[in-house]
Amino acid sequence: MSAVTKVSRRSFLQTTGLAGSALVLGVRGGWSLVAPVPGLGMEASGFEPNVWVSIGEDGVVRLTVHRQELGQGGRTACCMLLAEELEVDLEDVEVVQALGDPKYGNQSTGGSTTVRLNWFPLRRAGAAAREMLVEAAARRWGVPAADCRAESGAVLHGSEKLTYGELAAEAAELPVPEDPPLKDPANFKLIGTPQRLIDTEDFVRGDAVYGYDFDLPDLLIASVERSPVAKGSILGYDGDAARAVRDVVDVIELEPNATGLTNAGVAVLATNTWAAMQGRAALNVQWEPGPLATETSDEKRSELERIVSEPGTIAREVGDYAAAAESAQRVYEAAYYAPYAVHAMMEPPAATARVEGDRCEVWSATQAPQWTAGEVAGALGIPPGNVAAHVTLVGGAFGRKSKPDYAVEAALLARKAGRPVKVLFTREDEIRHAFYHPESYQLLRATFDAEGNPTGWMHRSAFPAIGWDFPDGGANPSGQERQLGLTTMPYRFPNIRIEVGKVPSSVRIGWMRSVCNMFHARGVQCFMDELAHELGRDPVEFHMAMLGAPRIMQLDGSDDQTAYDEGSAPFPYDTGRLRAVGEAAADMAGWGRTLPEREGLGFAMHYSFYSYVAMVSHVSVSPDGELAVHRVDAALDCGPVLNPDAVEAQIQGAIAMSLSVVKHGRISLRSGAVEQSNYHDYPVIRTREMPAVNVRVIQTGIVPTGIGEPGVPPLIPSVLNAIFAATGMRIRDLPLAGQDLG
Amino acid sequence: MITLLVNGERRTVDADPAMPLLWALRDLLRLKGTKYSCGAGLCGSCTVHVDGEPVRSCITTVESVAGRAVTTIEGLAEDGEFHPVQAAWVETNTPQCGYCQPGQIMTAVALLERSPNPTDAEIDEAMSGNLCRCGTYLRIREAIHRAAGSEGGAS
Repeated sequence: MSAVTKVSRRSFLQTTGLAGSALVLGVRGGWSLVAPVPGLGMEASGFEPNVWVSIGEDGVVRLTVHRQELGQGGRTACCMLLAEELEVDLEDVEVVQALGDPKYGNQSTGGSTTVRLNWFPLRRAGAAAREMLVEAAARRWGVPAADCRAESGAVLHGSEKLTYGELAAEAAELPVPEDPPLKDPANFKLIGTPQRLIDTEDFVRGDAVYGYDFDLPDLLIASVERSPVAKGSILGYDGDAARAVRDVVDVIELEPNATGLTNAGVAVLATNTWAAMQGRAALNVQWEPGPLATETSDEKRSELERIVSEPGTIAREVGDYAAAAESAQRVYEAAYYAPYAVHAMMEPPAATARVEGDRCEVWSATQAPQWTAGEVAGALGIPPGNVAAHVTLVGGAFGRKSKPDYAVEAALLARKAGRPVKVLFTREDEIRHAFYHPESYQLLRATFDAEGNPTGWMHRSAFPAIGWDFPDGGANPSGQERQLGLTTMPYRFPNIRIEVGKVPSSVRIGWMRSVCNMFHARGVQCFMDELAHELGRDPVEFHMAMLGAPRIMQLDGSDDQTAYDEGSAPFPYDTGRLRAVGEAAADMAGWGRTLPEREGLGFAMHYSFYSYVAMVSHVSVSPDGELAVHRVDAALDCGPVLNPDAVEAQIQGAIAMSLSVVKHGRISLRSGAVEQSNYHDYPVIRTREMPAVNVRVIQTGIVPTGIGEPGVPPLIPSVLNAIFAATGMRIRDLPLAGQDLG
Repeated sequence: MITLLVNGERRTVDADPAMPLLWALRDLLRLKGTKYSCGAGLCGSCTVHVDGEPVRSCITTVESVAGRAVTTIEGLAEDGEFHPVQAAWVETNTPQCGYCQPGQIMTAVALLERSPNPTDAEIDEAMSGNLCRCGTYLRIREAIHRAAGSEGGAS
């Protein structure tokens, strides 16, 4: 089968409702990769057409984008890939945002996958369409196709020119080329050039439509008072007081749903947001907190300490660590704690739903429209095919908006109200009803012989897993969670034992930008820095010595498991690339230079989402303990770069987010309820806290890898190691807020 | 009924006098460019101008701005041409998710009106009330400098 399949115009119109398209191509892509180069193991799998290209007789190229725009530039990236091979100008591409539908393959916008998994499929789509248009022109003119060329939406032959719009109908009659040639990278016009996001002008004009902004006639706004403790239940509330508020229309109880996605709540529906909020404030709901009203953060920390004091489940084992520990002459140990953290994206979750009979339409700011459709269908008891899950622009997500709880609430309320309903999370709702980045405790030990040669590495990681499924007790972290920076430890210790512990939780756990990499990278990279100092070695020199000669690693230490269900073969974990970014960052920062008193440089590097990032942070700590991060030098290798401007932006953003975690990030629980509520007690960094950022990109190989998340993990240890260099203090607990650095 | 002067137009709203201006703009006047994010004056996403001064519309009652000139992000462009600050935001590719940017832009416009060529320290001071979780702070600073240049500030 060819990688690109022509679909009938009628089927296209049926699926998307776009009129006026003459040439319509379906492209396979998404989770599978189309083999562009023999021997890379990138065989196609799954043949549902999932990304759609059309060229109308007006010459307009329309691309249905199946990934979401979260600020990471995903929509723009898809357009660049198509336009490059199609030979159209980016301004001429129109973008249609796909609904959630299995026919598109995997639409989950997470895991730093958008460029990586669409790099070849979208280019092949563009190339196939271009070849068909050139062939149509060649036939019209009676000349060989090889004598024609495509440029800016037209085919040229000498002084003759036909636009794509003029050719689209004829091109649509031609067979889809089996193996359209992709352009020589030397001839790229878009790929590798800085491009602004296609939505930029809408953003600055103020007319971009986010989940919060979506509107329908007759819409009611819902504000929902939810159980402060997961799995709590309603004892009573004053619905009449809420109804007495001007513009309040209805008060509706929400049952928790069976999948644990939503909790019990009381919704106040009104014709405007203020009235819904005022009505909600009048409800005075009394709660039965339920079985999870147990966890209090100070006690939980002791429990985590206890869990890592005992052996856990082995995640990776090399040689015999126990024997190494027994015969070791020197043993070093450190433990690192971090509390729960939350996303605090600027746009709190929001979704609108309209239910008519057994059909439902939802419009939500979501990373996961397919999951949205499935959960909404399940909650309403209607077939998944009866739910149309639209995607708005997303005002920040960072993993939170992969969970469709707010769309489910909107759908249930819309059915009960008999009118379209928009559920708006307040900031307090966002902070208190999240799916949290897990609390974590890392115990590390390293052993050395009398000469200071390394003999053993032991790492125990304890954190509530995403698979934690109350009320049945904690689940062990999954293979995928273990591969996020734990089993991927790259240093050459002859004996290695890596374990995970089982941790219960009172709150629901989710994904937050780089997920477990955040605490695993901190444990490994801070401990390596501690070891270097204990051994009297320069940290960068020690890292490089312990990496040893470049080698290809498996993600979990065995031969057969891979991350993200797709096979790591096209994306080998090459420790030589890690070394290269480490050396580059050290070079950029002038590693080894003498700094004034109470200033320091800190180094860290990490492999995640198939990309390599190293950072050196330059900090100062004033005598009264005020930390300033002045500059971060970041070197990265994410393969060939599609949009260098977006890559730089993602590194700046990753630094801002992780600096917020290291300085301020703390969600704490009291009897199972989250104590924080807004930006005053869950602060994030402000502009004056933002360091200068220098980015150097090393482009290795022919396959792009992730960039949305990989900038997050190395920043935190690089800052903590820099604080040690500046002050001699080892900070092993996060956040820094409340700790005296003076 | 409360009469407002929004982006140069006289508009009348039938609202609870205590309703924040933010919700009057968004829900009653359907001007959705002004964003909710914290509802407590902590993040700056809802920034609009009242008589030329930046205010947090989420903690400003609609009653308190009756008869005063309110400018929102929708009122910045003139005859379809971006305000120089908006243009600078585009030229520097500043937005990522874009959600906080209307508030950032409104704060920056007010800064440049009182300080046509601000230093980095002045920018940090003026912009410190506007949060961005995507981390566009460096580009915002660059965009403000660029806009200052294009406005012919005292360079």
